[in-house]
Amino acid sequence: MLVEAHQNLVYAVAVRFVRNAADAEDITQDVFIRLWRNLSSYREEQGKLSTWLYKITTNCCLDFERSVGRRARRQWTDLDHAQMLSVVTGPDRELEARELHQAVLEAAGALPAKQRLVFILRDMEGLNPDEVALALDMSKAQVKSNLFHAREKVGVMLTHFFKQTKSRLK
Amino acid sequence: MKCREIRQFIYTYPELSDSDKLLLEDHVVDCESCRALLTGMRQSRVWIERAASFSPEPVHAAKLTGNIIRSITEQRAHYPQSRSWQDNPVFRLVMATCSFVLIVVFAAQQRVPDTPYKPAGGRSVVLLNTSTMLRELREQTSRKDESDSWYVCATQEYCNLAIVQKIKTRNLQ
Repeated sequence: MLVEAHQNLVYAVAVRFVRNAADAEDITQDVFIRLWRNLSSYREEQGKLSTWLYKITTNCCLDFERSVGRRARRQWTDLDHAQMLSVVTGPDRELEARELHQAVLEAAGALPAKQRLVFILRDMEGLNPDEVALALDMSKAQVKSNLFHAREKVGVMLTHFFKQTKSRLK
Repeated sequence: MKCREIRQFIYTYPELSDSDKLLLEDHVVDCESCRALLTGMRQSRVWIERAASFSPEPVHAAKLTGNIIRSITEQRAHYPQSRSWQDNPVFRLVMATCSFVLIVVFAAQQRVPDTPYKPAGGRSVVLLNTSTMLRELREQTSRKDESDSWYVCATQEYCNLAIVQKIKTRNLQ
């Protein structure tokens, strides 16, 4: 079934964008309602269904970001790590990936919405630049420019984060 | 190349062409600050890749699926799924506007007097206004003794000329 097959993909993008499990579930629900409403207008020439789904998801994420000003944003601390399942194997490695995931999301959370989405789709979801451009209605040059700024900022924040962690452990 | 341009190359390394990668690698051999930046960026990439291997999933996936299905079912009851481009509101608005414009043009045309018109290299004709044309066509169709239908009359030149002649005669009287 379409929902079961793709809900994790949508949820992963949403939760990485909003960093809040409840909001991510709301976004996931909105995405599938929009998908259902527009399913008849989907043509294979427009790209893969997953790319189209990414496009709807990013639009819902941006709509959510715009609506945030009108209502109090839920604290992202409720994104309990126990709620997440890992694909990596081994308890130590899983723990490390969880911590890294949290640190990267925290760093990405400071980026402007579009840069954050480009970063999530390219570096976390592993889409190629063409698919990112299609999902976000951007040119390849815009994707590259957003990636440059996003990676630069995330890189600086991650380095700072690990320096702090190291000094705490000493 | 300048360090400023190389900086952009460093952060977009995976998207670079082979020739740009060579340019970058040549530059960092001699530039210590860019080399340090490239090392830092590679370290960040390792962290990000490892973080990306961690896949967040909803706690109660089945419950979420159920909520989605329920929402869609509710939506289905309130809003029928859009069927095609014909249901597009923009398309409908354009079609309504075109129809309105055609009605206005048709109505306005009824007030315009018959106009002589001679196309370049063609025979001179008289452009009838729609009111006259409709009246004449009605007369043509009501005449039982004539074999030509109003459609033949409207499309055949001899018939149009007969109508024009009749109008001219009437105007002279």
